[in-house]
Amino acid sequence: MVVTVDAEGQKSTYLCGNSLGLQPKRTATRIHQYLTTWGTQGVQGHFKVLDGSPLPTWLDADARAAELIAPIVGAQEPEVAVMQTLTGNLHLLMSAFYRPDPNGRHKIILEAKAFPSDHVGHPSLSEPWASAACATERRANQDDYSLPWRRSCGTTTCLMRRPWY
Amino acid sequence: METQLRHHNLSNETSMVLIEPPSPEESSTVSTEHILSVIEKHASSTALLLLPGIQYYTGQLFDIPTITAFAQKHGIFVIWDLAHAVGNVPLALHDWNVDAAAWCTYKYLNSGPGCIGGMFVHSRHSTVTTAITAERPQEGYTNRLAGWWGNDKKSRFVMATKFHPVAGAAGFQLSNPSILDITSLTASLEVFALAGGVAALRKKSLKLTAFLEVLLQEMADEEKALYKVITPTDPQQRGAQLSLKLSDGLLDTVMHELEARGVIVDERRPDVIRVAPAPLYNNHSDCVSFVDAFSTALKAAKANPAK
Repeated sequence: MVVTVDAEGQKSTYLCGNSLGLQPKRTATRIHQYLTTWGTQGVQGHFKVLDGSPLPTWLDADARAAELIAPIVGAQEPEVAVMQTLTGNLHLLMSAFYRPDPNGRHKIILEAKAFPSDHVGHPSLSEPWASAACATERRANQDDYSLPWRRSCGTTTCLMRRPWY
Repeated sequence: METQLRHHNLSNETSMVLIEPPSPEESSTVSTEHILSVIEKHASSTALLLLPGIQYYTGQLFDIPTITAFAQKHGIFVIWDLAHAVGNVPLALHDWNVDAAAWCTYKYLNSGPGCIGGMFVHSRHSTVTTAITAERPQEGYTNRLAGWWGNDKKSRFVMATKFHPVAGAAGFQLSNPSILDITSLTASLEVFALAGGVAALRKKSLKLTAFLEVLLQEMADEEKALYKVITPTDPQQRGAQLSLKLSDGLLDTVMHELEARGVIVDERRPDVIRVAPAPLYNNHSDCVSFVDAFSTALKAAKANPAK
């Protein structure tokens, strides 16, 4: 892993992988290999592996990622797809599998504490949702980018603080 | 979820059920029994259960197989949001018979900010029983909001005007994915494989988080009085993270003091900090550094809570 350091080169204590994981050292190598494939092969990268590169063709890149992620979630390989974003995928899943019948099964059961505490006290059920949309969207889109970052990035004196929600 | 309901001309008032901690003053966590009781109460009118595998705020790991089986017994489709669980705790989505799940990859999976996500669809929900040449091929699979990349690879570049998905989760894909994203994710997944997978990492994770817990327990009483751990004490009901709920008014100063000591954790307003030793790159020394800095930070915050 790439270790976070501050401006004086001192190592940080990074215990924030629940929000944003650290960068593996080989990420830079693989991305460089990807850039080389694109830079030297252009569109042929869809179907042709670059000599000496461990990367699959772009056509098969998603299948390779699925193969590696299947054991992490305990799935058969065809059961997983590496795609889109968390919120986008939830919407796609619901577009296929949430088919409410207003006179029968129509409810969605969720976990309420997923909401920020500013909404918990509201007596109305609708208001927290109306104002907050879903917790997943917040988490995916905003929450995780707001690290208290100054010492770890070592480049600026900015202090990004997690916003209120 | 709200927008999904509106999309179907439904409203939160009629169609949304929230599972709340039964005694929020005593505990922020929710027992399996309580979750099951809510499911049972709304069983006949519920179409979907959507829960986090690990609750982001408390760090509670839910009993995915038990809850899944119970909801399914009542005819409810079960989707798990695994943002905080994937790469953190072992999962067995197929064997647990989970219907579907989704996750991001930039937390414990270290793919980089905003990187590509993932989706699980149990094999029984993604079959394709018709050929594209059938008279009504769409009757052979679950309808979905589709895209050309969800077609079988053999026909993707034929540019047929008809969508006919490949079987499996891949049939839910929309467009060709960002190879830059996938390359970044795959690099990290290679590291996971080299480390022996999540099961091996979990062994270290259990030790690390237990060590962190012990260090916190060994703090001075006057410091321990200023916060409480709201994550379950049972290691089987949590992942790497411990959530520390501070007394009123301490958070800003504590975060400021931690940061001044080079300790990176995150805060959840109004009063929680989340501390997650990731087994892939954290060690016992990180836990010691945190608790040392936290102890100093609490003293500073108590002395000057308004800072």
